[in-house]
Amino acid sequence: MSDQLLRPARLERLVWHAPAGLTEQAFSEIQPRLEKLVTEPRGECVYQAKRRAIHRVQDEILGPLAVKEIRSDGCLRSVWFRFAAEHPGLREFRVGSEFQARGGATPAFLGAMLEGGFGHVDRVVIFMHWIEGAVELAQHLRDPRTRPDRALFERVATRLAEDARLGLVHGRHSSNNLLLVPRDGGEPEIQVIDFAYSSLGVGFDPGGFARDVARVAVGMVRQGGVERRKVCEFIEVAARVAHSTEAEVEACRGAIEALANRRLIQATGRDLEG
Amino acid sequence: MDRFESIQRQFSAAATRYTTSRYHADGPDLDAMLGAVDLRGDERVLDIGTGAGHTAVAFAPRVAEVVALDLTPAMLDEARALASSRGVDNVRFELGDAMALPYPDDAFDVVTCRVCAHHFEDPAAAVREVARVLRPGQPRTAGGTLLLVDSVSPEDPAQDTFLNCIEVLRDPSHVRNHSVSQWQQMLAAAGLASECLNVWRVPLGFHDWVERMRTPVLERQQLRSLFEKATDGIRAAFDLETGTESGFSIPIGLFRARLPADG
Repeated sequence: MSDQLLRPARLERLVWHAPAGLTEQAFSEIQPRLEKLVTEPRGECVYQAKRRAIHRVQDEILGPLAVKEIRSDGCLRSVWFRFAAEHPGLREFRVGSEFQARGGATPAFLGAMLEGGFGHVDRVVIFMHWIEGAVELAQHLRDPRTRPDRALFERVATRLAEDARLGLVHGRHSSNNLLLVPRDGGEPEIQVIDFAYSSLGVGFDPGGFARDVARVAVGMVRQGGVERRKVCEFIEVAARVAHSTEAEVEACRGAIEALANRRLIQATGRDLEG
Repeated sequence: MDRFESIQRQFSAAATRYTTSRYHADGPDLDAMLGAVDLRGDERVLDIGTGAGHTAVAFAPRVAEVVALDLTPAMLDEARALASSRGVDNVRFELGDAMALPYPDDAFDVVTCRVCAHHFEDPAAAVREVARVLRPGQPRTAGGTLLLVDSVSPEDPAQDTFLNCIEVLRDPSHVRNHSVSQWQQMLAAAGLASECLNVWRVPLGFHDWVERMRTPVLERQQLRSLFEKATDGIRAAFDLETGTESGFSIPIGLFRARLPADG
């Protein structure tokens, strides 16, 4: 996207956080390398938004990394996140790395740093492995050589149901937050990214699952260009993968359709049947 | 827009409606909360997600001080006005987040949280924060007590799906109604011994329910469609009535959870 570098950090202003499930000793070996990446930034910016940026960096030992910066954006918010609430970047890191520790399929979290001073938090930077060759689901769906079929729907739905059983409610799913990661000698593995709006609960949340599936379904129509009729098939598959009784399947399918229709009508003026 | 902005936007627009809502002002659970603890008058109470301040104002005459916490400045303005109109002067109003309470350990004798926890993205973290700021009390005193009231989802997955789906269609800042067993699990994990004292079925008229949150027309259409297509099991579980007098009932649970007694 651009060669704009991360703003260099000052070591004395940093607080480091290890990912869930990683021992202190293991993190102490990684941390100096991560420090170097933020004090002497390099790499390329691959995504830039109002409060967020993602840089791709190559480290000699750790390999290719995604370095995600989440800025507080404004004095009031930087004070707010120091005293009154957890910084969204730390929350994203905490939920994502806990999801990974529970066995969730996501690019590996290596650590996070919070930069601030007395009375304010400026930004949080999260370090993850960069996965070479990964393709967003939306991009895969748009490819005329790989039109969606029931097998793909079942793989996506199974991934969403497995994530939900680990307690994840993603909150901002789209076809862009599901990655198809190449595997030697097999179908690509589906991994989930971007936990900015996610929560991890105590078990399967059927309402949260319906919300997540609805967002993926809308993404299939809008970003993936999938026919609405086919998306209804995906919804049916997802409801059946997640639930065992007909009453549960019916409630789930109805909820997903209602939630998806709201978004589709808002965005396109037409619902799933339109 | 992050979750703070989402909640603030939703409740800034609807703040005054929570002051006048009959259920929020005078629901059966409010009296039950007051009756669930033996207050001596010297307690310090934290009311999390105070909203229009009904719980804080109800507890204030019976305790030394109430700190009323909310994420939305407009709701705190409503709560201040309510306290002032009732002549209550021992309530302090503060802005803050339940998942990162801006208070030291052992700062409060009693914590209350009424019809707000379904907005918590990380309720387990919020419960841990409550356990941290609670001061352990002696047996048969109010000290070290959390009183939690919230809409609870049925244990049945189909009914759970229906309830949480209609809630999020009506209010995008809704996160989840947990079941009684899920709350008890989270409270136990935070070291609090809990009991569910009661579950009420609170009747709600469809029109008032969506008006209070200013639910847009499109979402109302989806809600009506879900109500009309509901199975007999769901109709029975929520006393669902469709047509001109449409309405339903929602289960509201009261939990009392205590830290182990001091010493």
